[in-house]
Amino acid sequence: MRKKWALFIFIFFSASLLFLVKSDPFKGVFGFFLKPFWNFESILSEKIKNFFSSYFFLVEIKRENQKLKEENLKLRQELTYFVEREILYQKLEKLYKIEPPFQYPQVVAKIIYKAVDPFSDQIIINKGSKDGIMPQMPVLALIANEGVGLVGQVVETHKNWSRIILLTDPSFAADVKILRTQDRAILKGKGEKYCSLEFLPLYSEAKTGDTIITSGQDLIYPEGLLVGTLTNLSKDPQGLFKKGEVKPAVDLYNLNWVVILLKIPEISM
Amino acid sequence: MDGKIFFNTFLPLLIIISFLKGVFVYITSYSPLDFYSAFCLALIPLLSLNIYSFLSIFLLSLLKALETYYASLLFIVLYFLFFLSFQHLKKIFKTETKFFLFLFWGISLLLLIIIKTILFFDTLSLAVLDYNFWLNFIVKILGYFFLTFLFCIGFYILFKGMIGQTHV
Repeated sequence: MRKKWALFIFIFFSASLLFLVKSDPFKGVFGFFLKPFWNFESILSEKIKNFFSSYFFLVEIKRENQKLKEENLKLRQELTYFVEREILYQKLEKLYKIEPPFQYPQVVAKIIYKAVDPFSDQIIINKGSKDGIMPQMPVLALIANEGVGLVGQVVETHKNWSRIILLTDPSFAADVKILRTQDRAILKGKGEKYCSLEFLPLYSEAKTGDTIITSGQDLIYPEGLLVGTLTNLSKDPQGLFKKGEVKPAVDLYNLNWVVILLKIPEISM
Repeated sequence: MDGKIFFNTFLPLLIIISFLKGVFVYITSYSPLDFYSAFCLALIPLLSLNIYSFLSIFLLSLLKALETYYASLLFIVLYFLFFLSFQHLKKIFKTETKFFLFLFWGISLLLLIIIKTILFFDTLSLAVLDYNFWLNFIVKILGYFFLTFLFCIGFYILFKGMIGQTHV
């Protein structure tokens, strides 16, 4: 009889433990109650930030600089787009076929909490599964209502909030290519300001300053999204590939709004 | 901790500190230390075994869990482990001394850092870890440890001043 009870208790605790680890009900419920608090916190933080940046720095120069930066990023994005189109059309001329362009619906979300620490770079946004957001969806930055570059990926969704890992988070990885040379490589976050670029072919003629875009080969991020600029290119210790660092195109630490591409994941996690 | 202290002191303090932490991180986009762990470790020596103490530890572990994508259970288990081990150690050692408190915080933070490091390297998939990476990592770890430790001391002084007694 005692053995039966022990077995029953063991099964009950194992099932409860499995349920708690797998579904994690606390987070969803607790996050739901904390959302208004996070909203208030983000609004106040933004106001404080704007106050200090407006009055303690050179107001006009900063605004002009910001405008020029935005314009520059927009132009870079446009340039990236047109260079990519040019390369694509050159290929298509040879192949005599045209692929249809892709369009995904977008959801604009506000960052309500920044969960950053020395080991991870994550943000929490005010949109969740009820807005159609699913894990693995790509996240872009918004500048003057236009997506300019890749910011990260959705990793956790709840009813009215979601968690996003930034490019610099150690768990982030994407298949990318050098825009100029079209050589593919893997971009990985490492918990630092810049990302790591690995497995770039040894024969690649890439050089520092080259623009990095998504290749679309990982079936998660659409092709041609601006990622960043290549820095510190060198051979890896084994001498089989080249490695480097990538400076993200989007200023990840001054984000307030993001755009989520509602692209349904083609592969499961 | 009784209900009066929990509702009149602990909860308002937790809300204020969480709010200040959130605003600071939102503005600077940088957090070199672990606020919630420092808060929890500073609070543990002032708690005794009762329902409100459990509730405080539970709330803190949930707040910490929301900062990561790991299961809440991990931080619930970890924070309760710190709390229950301190309660057990109270029976064996003289826990009111500075030396014991520093030792407890140091060991707890070391355990926390070991777990964080394991989780960090579990998610990290870099093929090559170069000299600069290791240098940055060591600086981050040391900064994380010492700043969290300093906040533990700061929070402990603050809580002791507010609560006004050694064990509640």
